[in-house]
Amino acid sequence: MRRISDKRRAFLIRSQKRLWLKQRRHANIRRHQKYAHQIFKKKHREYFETKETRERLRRKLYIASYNAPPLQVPITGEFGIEKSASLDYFLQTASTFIDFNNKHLTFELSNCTRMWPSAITLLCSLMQWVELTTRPPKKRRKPQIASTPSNSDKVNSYLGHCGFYDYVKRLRDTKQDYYSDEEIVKIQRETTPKNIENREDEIIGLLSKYSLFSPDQIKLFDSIVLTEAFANVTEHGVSYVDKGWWVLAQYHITHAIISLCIADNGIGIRHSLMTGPQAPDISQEVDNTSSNDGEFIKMALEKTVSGAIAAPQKKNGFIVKGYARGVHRGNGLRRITDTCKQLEIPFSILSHYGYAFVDKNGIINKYGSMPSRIFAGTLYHMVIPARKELQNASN
Amino acid sequence: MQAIDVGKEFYHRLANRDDKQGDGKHTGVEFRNRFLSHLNNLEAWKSPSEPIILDFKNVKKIGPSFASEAFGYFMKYVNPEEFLKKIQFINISGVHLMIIKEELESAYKGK
Repeated sequence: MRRISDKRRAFLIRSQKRLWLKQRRHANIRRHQKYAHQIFKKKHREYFETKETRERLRRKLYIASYNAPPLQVPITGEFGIEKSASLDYFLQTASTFIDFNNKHLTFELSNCTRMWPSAITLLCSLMQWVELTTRPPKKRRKPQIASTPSNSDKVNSYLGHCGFYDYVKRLRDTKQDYYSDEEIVKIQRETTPKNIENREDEIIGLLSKYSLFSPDQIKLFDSIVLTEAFANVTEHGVSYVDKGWWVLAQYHITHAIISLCIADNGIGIRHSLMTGPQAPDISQEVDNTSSNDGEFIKMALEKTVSGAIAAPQKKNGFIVKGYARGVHRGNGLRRITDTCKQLEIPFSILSHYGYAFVDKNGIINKYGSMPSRIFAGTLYHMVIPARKELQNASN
Repeated sequence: MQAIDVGKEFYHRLANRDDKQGDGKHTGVEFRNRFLSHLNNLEAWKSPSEPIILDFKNVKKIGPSFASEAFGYFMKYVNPEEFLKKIQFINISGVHLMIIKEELESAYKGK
């Protein structure tokens, strides 16, 4: 054994002691942080409870196994909610495949004559839904989703042009492009709220170029409708895990409209309201069942109800219940509806089983629920009046 | 009194509400705590003092939820008229001022 000097021995003892003190200091910091977090959790108990409830609910919604025999979904004619004539067909068709549990899902598009942006958003949300339900550690078999090409070259071209084929990582069916890049805000995989500002700028650019709105009207639309819609969407679609949110806007020259879709794959309006602090009050008015999804959307559009984690409770007033002065009130969807009414924009919401269509006068002309889901999350859709002069010029 | 250049000293996109909502940074609550925290009591509103000037020349947009959290919160102390005497908005567009005023009214009425 080697002999060490006293000096060396003292040095080793000192360094050992320093290391021990450092470890003790770090242990104390960790203990303090743990304690501080416990205190913080206790102080904001409702906030954490709501968050945990929503996460549990989300996990419950993700339970899906894809074992059933292959399913073919034929899509004929126009598919989307942009035109009122095809609304019922869209709702019926969407309800047949959003909750699918088949090994293979094939969209038969050969007789499809038009895919509207709302339909593209629906398919992208479905793709993301499947990805979320089969994400590790869940060892579920991933279903195969495919589509046949359409007999219409324009449909095939549009699926490539709008960003859908890039989204699902598929090669384009046709080389011919009928559409201009200036007339679209393409759909893409959005993973961070930092992209919101860019998307807003792109939408504003599209509106400035093609809509009938004045600069002040565009500012109003931007400040209220876009801000509120994006706030709702990112609250549910952005997290540590990419749960999905999408934007797709398209100027349709032949119909003189801009179709704008903003969507997320969140827990939906009903679940959001029923897991928030206002749930006891809301449950007195409507039963918490999927057949009432439409009623919940209508309520969110017409009344000041909030699904926010920090939403306050209404207090008993002289005649009716109301909020205390200065508190956050849950006006988001009502603000969107009012502004759309002011700007004469038809506006619609699809959320899980429910739907509501508001006309340009702000009247809910159709709402209700389907027996199975019609959208994996929540879709906000607007039909913005656009210029016809360009149409005449091109003709 | 020197004006606060909101766009430069805070952010140009005033849209987020509260970090609890998962909106991200630059929220209405953050703005209130940073620039108006000294007004979070009744005495501060009753005592005469110089108005606070908020310069919106570099602000691109203001959302109703932000306005509600940043300014509507103070409706528990004062009414909209008194608020606008104490806090003045300069270089602000008509649309943005309308949004703020609507939020103040709505927060004051509790609707």
